[in-house]
Parts: sequence; structure tokens; C-alpha cells
Amino acid sequence: MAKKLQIKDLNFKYALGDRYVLRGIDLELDAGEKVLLSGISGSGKSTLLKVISPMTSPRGGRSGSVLIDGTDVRDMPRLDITSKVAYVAQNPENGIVVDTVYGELAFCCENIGMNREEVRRRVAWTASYFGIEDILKRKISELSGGQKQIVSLAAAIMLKPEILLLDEPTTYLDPIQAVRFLDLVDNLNRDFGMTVIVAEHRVESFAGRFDRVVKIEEGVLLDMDVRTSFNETDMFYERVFALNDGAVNTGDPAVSVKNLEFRYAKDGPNVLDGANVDIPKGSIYALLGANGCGKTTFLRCLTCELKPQRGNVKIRSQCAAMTQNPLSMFIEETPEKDYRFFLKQKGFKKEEADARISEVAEKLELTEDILKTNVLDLSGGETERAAMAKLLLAGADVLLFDEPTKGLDSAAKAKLTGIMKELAERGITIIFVTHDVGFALSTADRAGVLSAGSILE
Amino acid sequence: MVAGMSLKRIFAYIAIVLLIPAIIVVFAAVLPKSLFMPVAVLIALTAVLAFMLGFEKEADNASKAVLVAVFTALSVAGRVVFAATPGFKPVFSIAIFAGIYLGGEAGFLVGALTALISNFVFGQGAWTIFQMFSWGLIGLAAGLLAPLLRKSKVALCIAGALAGPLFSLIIDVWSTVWIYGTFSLKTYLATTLASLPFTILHAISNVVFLLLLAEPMRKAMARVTVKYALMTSGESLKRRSKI
Amino acid sequence: MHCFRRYHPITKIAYFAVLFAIAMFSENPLIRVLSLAGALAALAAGGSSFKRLLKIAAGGVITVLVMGPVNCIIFHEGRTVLFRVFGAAVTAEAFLYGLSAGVMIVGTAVWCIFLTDETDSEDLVFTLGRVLPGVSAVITVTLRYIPEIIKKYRETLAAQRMVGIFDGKKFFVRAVVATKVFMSVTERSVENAMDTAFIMRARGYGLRRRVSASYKKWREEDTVMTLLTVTGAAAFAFGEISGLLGFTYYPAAEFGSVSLSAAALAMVCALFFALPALTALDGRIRWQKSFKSRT
Repeated sequence: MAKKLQIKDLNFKYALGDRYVLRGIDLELDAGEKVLLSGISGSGKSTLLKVISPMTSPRGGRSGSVLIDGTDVRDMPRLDITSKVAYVAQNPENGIVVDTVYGELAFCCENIGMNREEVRRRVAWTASYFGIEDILKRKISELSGGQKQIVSLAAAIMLKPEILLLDEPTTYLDPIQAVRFLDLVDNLNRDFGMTVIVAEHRVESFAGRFDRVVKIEEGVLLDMDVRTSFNETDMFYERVFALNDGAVNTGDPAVSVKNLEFRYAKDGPNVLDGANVDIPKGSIYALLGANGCGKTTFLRCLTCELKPQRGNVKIRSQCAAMTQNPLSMFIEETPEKDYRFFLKQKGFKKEEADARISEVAEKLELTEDILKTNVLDLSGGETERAAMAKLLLAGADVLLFDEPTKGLDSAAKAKLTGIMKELAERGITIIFVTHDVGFALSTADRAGVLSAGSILE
Repeated sequence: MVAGMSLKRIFAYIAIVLLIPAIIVVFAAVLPKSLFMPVAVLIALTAVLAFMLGFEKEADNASKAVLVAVFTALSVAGRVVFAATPGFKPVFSIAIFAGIYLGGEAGFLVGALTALISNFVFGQGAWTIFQMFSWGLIGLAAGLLAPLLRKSKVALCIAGALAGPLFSLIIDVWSTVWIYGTFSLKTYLATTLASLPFTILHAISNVVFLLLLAEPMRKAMARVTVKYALMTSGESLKRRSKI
Repeated sequence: MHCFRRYHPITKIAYFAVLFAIAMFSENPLIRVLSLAGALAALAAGGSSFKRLLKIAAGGVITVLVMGPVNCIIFHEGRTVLFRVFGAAVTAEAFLYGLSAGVMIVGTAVWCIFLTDETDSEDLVFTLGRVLPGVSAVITVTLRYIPEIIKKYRETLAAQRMVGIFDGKKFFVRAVVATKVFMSVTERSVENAMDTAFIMRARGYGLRRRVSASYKKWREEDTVMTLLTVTGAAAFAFGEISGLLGFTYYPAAEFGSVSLSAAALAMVCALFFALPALTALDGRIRWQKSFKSRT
């Protein structure tokens, strides 16, 4: 019997590039097999997933072949490929097409002109299978990131595909949402025998779920043997609290929060209910906590964006904050232009501004090349650092971050750790809220957990 | 990806841009109110539907469909986020850019859909159809003048300054008949004078937004063209630097 | 309670089309007053707050009071001359016409508020989806983008505020930054559009002629409402063509006909205008019954 999916000696280069992104890829998958495709960003894993189906394939030079059930995909009718191969994008913001959940689920079926009654039945079934019946009539804009990604998966499998391709589907999800999402993928695989390929750079924490792990390196596919480790994202808070044992309090705190209370509605529950924390100058403070525990609210109280009903926040020096999406820090085309405009508004002369920019750029390892690149072309790590530079240019020595590792791969995270530590040594205080326990453990020198409205240390 | 239009089509569109408003004015002066209103609604409705029907085939192209959607969304969102400053909105300028970069038909659609969709927020009413028609005409006209508007900023400014008053003048014909029951120079003047401050504000804000958005739009469309040539999502465009 | 909202989009479109035709084209002051009354009743029964109704009423009264004199300045026809200003006649007929036009404008405006309350973009997508599936697809994508763009705009503006770009700055700087934010959001949104196009292709967009699916369904009430709408339209059309519902302002204000059949036709129009309010009342009663049975 022919394999479900066969990739034979596949080579690919983009229309505007001269380098082969994929070189001699050979991969065979049985029906119902589940494969994890690992590799650092830029290794070609996304490209591989896209090249499989001619419906999603980018333009460029391609040689070799892709066979589904023994038939070359280029000889198959386009309708067949569309219904056999489903694709889920990395970012749920870009992976959803229309405005309502119902419309999104029906989208595939509408495109192929399916009978209306059949569309209704399929939507009904899919919604109950994924447990999203309660949000079926909602607008996409009202959903959380995790819900969006589940809707995106549900929409992709409406045509009962046999092969499911997922491009780093959990990058923008928090750990709990990620687990829920991968469980759903497991269910699809188990219940319907779907063949699954998931591209992912966090191999260790997910490898246990897969039949096989392959690795793509510089466009070449290698088999990989991973031992699953269970400690990668340590769910136990002991190690987090242990961070504080080694920390020594020196002098006045840079940030001091006393009995902070905040609620959004007049008679609503207190989101922050007597939160206390002292953070010394030059330390890196990680604030952890489950979804919806009020981490972002806490941060917004620190930036004075929200005024607490009780308690007070004392920050001894200038503080500046970065939102979850570092791209929103920029309003000009390139980082350099943006810094210039910003410093001009702040009243700096051109020479002064130049001096400051080069000083900060050096600290954050921002090369001339990065400074002059359109912000839309920067990688996640580069955008993050370029945005941090803006905080430093604002003259801040208390930096606040909301989920700084969102969307970053492990190499970018390691670099961020190094830079944060270096800044802390120069006396800059860093506070970040995160779900990423691993990052907090490797970066922070003290940590707190926000729960039931107060901070535990 | 700008639609290459045949000469015949261009003539047809020039006829639409110039003739229909002229016909409306003549009808307004000649026909009694009870006849003019249905006729005017019918003309506007037919024009809007005709353009939508014309776009129906182009909508099969995902990239084109999405670009029309994003332009429309930008101008509706612009109407919302600049709600605090009356008259100072990027609506017309985005319809003009849509005409320039996506072609006259898409420009018409962006203008028309902006009116239709934003009125779900700002109030739907009988005027919606006339608004759709006249905003659409602005996008269409920009599409016809695209080669000129793309080259010269002065032309762009003049077009923007004229677009606002043009729109008001068309709308005013209809509101005159509606309010006063007859169309005469006197009643028409009374209506136009009442809306004069807004018309002037419109003209100014159009020019400002056109000048400000010209560069970002050009660059964004240049980038999109490259991306479209690759027919793929963002990642492939990004430089392959480590981290 | 928004009871009119639950009707099928096609029912709603038919009703509002006929409604606006009557409300805007009728010259008859009686019909105009009935339309205004119906519109206000619809809003009130729909559960609009007293404050909102008061605001609307105040605006309405001002419009009506302004339109009377304005029309007198422009028109000097009419038999009943009240007085003369610089030789120009100010007539009762012109004043009446102005008041009547004011009532029509306010009536239409209130109906528009009601229309905006009771319809949403899903009705539009549904209706267009049947005729123009491609355009309706474009609209749904647009509707997905709009909140996204507004969110991006607000987020970016907030990020600028947080690094202190506005500290002690005048209105002008704020305007410049706000416009720049809009510009950068424009660039980012156009860029992201191609990613959406990619997903659309992956989901088979453009492969075949689209159908438009929806969970909306045609109920018995829709048939009833459509029949009532047709009745209203027929009554009005008959009244206009036969002149029974006509009205002349100049040279003297006069009803087209004062007769039993004219009154009957006006009654039908009044009932037609009252349909939304009646629907809302009916919905209330049903709700009360169901609510009481629970406790």
C-alpha cells in the first residue's frame, strides 16, 4: 500500500532568492502518523509545510515530487488537494479570514459550493467536537488568542482532510492554551486517523506526543532522537520561590508597591487585592501567574495607565513599559527613523540624538543593518530589542515588559536573557510578567506569583 | 496588479463619472419630486449594483479581494478613530488610493462599501445609497486618473481638494429635493450654503491625509507587490538572519 | 427588547424599503405625523431609555421649529399672507410646508435610528451572499479587519503614550503622532493582508462559485410580516395614484380627499407604521409569560 504522504528529493528556492531553502528533502508518512518537525527559525520548516500543497506553495524553483496516496499532487484536481490537505497558520490573528466564528467554520464549505444544509450539519458537528458551541455566534474580535487558534483549526478541518499541517501553532498561546490546542490535534489524529505534521521549535516539551521527530537544518532533513524531558516548563512553583532566597536586598527599592487594590467595575471583584512588592534597583523581577490573574492589570497600574482605588505605587525613577506586541512601539518605517522622530519630540538636538542612539544600540547589540531595516522585516527577537531601545531612549531605568517571550524561539530567548542581565548590571531595573516559567527561572533574580489578587514571594 | 482597462471601459467610466451626476441634476430640475426620488434611488442603486456585479469575478482572486477589504476596513476604522474631529477623516483619501493602486472598479467598491459598512456605526438610512454612490464615484474617478495622480503630488492634492465638494454637491441635489420638494437654484444654494463649513473642512482634511498617506501607501503597495510575486505569507520575505 | 431584529434579513429589507418609501415620499402631513409617531413608539417599545427618547424628541422639536421659518424665507407662495417683510410675503402655507417637512425629516431620522438598532452587518452579509457571494466575502473580510485595525491603532497610540511622547505636548503634536500612528497601522495592515490571502487560498477560496451559508432561517412570522408589508405598500400606492392620500400646500393647504376611503387608507398606513412597536410589545408579553412560569 502506498504511503499517505511521500516527499521525494524535494528542492525549493523562492522566486526572488538564489539560495535553496529546501535541499533534497525525503519524508514518508503512514496514514495516521504524527510527526514533529523541528528546527530553528529560518531553517525552512514553514516553507516545507507550504510547498507540500500546490494551493499554498509559494512561487519559486521546485524539483522533486510530493505524493499523496501515491499520486503526485501536481496531477491531482485542485479541489481534491484542498479537501485532503489542511493548513493552520502560526499566528491566529492572520489565520482567520472572516468576522464571525460561524462564518469562519463555514468558509471552506462555502468556497467549494457545498449544499447549505450540509454546511449547517458540518458546522454543528465541528462546533460540538471542539467544544466551541458557546462561541459559535460570536465575533472573532471578542475571542482570546487560544480560542482563535482553536477556531482556526476547526475551520481548517471542515472538509475532512487526511493530512493536517500546522505551522508552529502554539507560539502565540500561553502554556495552558497550548496544551488544550495540542490535545485537540491529538484527538483528531486518534479519532479520524489524520496524518499530522507540526512544525515546532520547542521540541523537548512536546516530543512525547509524537510518533516521530524530524529536524530540518539549513534546508536538510535529519532524523532526530529525543528523550522527552518533563522538567522543561516546570509547573512547580518551588523553583520560582527559591529564586528569592538567594536575593539580597540592597538599599532603597526602585519600585515599591503597597496594598494595591484595583477593580474594573464599581461593584466588581478586586482584580488586585492588596498586592505588595518591593523591587530593588538593578534587579530582574519576574511576575508569574495563571491566565486572567491580573498580571497585565498590575503592570498597567505601575505605568499609571490605571489609577488604583487603594494603595500606592512608588517608582523612584523614570519608568517605561512595552506592550505585548513590540511592533506597536514603532510609528516610523525603520527603528532609526523612529528613534529620531521620538527624540526630536523629546526635545533633543540632532547630534545629541545620534549619540544617544548609538550608545543604546551598542548596549542592545542593534547593528547598523537592523537600525536601517523596515520594522516589518525584523525577526521577533530583533523587534523586541529594537523596542527595548526605545524604552532606554525615553530615559527609563525601570523597564516593564508584558510577555516579552511571546513568539520568540529559544535562541532569541537566550539572547534576551543575556541582554536583560547586562542591563541589570548597569543598574537598570527590569520587571516582566510572563507565563514562561523556564524563561523566568533563567533570567530573573527574583520572582513573585500573582494569585487571588496579591503577590506571593 | 492594477486592472488593465480597455479603452472602451475607460470611456464607459468617464461617462459614469460625468454623465450620471449631470443626469441627476437635470432630472432634479425637471421631474416633480414624486418622480425624481424613485428615479434617483434607481440610478444610484443600479450603478452600485452594476459595479458590485463587475467586481464579482475579480473577487475570486484572493489577493485582490483581501486588498479591497483592507482598504475598506482602513477607511471605516479611520472614520471611527478620528470620530472626535468632525470632518477630519481619511475616508476619501483611502478611496482615492484604492482607485490609484487597485483600479477604478475596486476604488468604486471601496468607497461604496465604506459608506455601507460604516453606517452600521454612524447610522444607516435612506442616504446610505446616495453616499455609496457618490463615495464610489470618487474612487472610480481616482482610478481613471491613476497615472496622473501617481506621478504628481500637486495633482493628487487638487483631486483631493475637489473630491470633498464634488461629493457634497451630489448629495445636496438629493437633499434639496427631499427637504424643499422642488429643485431650483435658490433651494439648492440654501442647502449647499448650510453644508459649506463641512465641505471646506472635507477638502482640507482630504489634502492633508492624501499628502501624509501618499508615501506609506506607495511603500506598502510596493511591498505587497513583491509579496504577491512570491504568492506567499510574510516569512519568506524576511531576511534570514539568525535570531 | 429588540424584537424586530429576529426577523429574517429579507423580511427586514422589504419592510424598511416600503417604510422609507412612504416616510420620505408622502407629502401628506397626516401620514408624516403617523410615521413619526410610529417611529417614536417603535423606539420606546424597543426599550430605549427615557433619556435617549428625550434627546431625540428635543432634537426633533428644534428641527421642526427651524424648518417652518426657513421655508418661509425661501418660498413666498400661498394664499394666506400673514405679514410682509421687505415686500416679500410670509404665508401660512409656506410655514405649514416647513413644519410638515420638519416632521418628515425627524420621522425619517428616527426610523433610521431604529433601523441601525435592529439591523447588523450579518443581515447585509446574508442578503448580499445570495446575490453577490464574492462581494459578500469581501465584506466579511472587511468586518474581520475593522476591529483589528482599531485595536492596532489604540495599542500603538498607547505604546507611544507609555514612552512619554506626549509629555507636556500641545494638541498639534498629539494630532501629528495620531496621524503617524494611523499611517504605520495602514502599512502594517496592508502587509498582513497578503497573509490572509494565503490562508484563503489554502481554504479553497476562488475554486468554485461560492455559496453563502448562514444559521438564519425563515419563520412563519416572516411570512406574516412580509404579507403585512405588501398590504401597506399596496395601500399607500393606491392612495398616491388615486390621489386619496395626496396633499397640496400651494396655493392653499388642502387634503387630496376627505372621505371614508381616505381615512381607511390612512389607517392601514398607521397600522403599518405601528408594526415594529406592536412586535416589541408582543415580544414583551411573551417574555413576561415565560418569565413568570419560571418562578
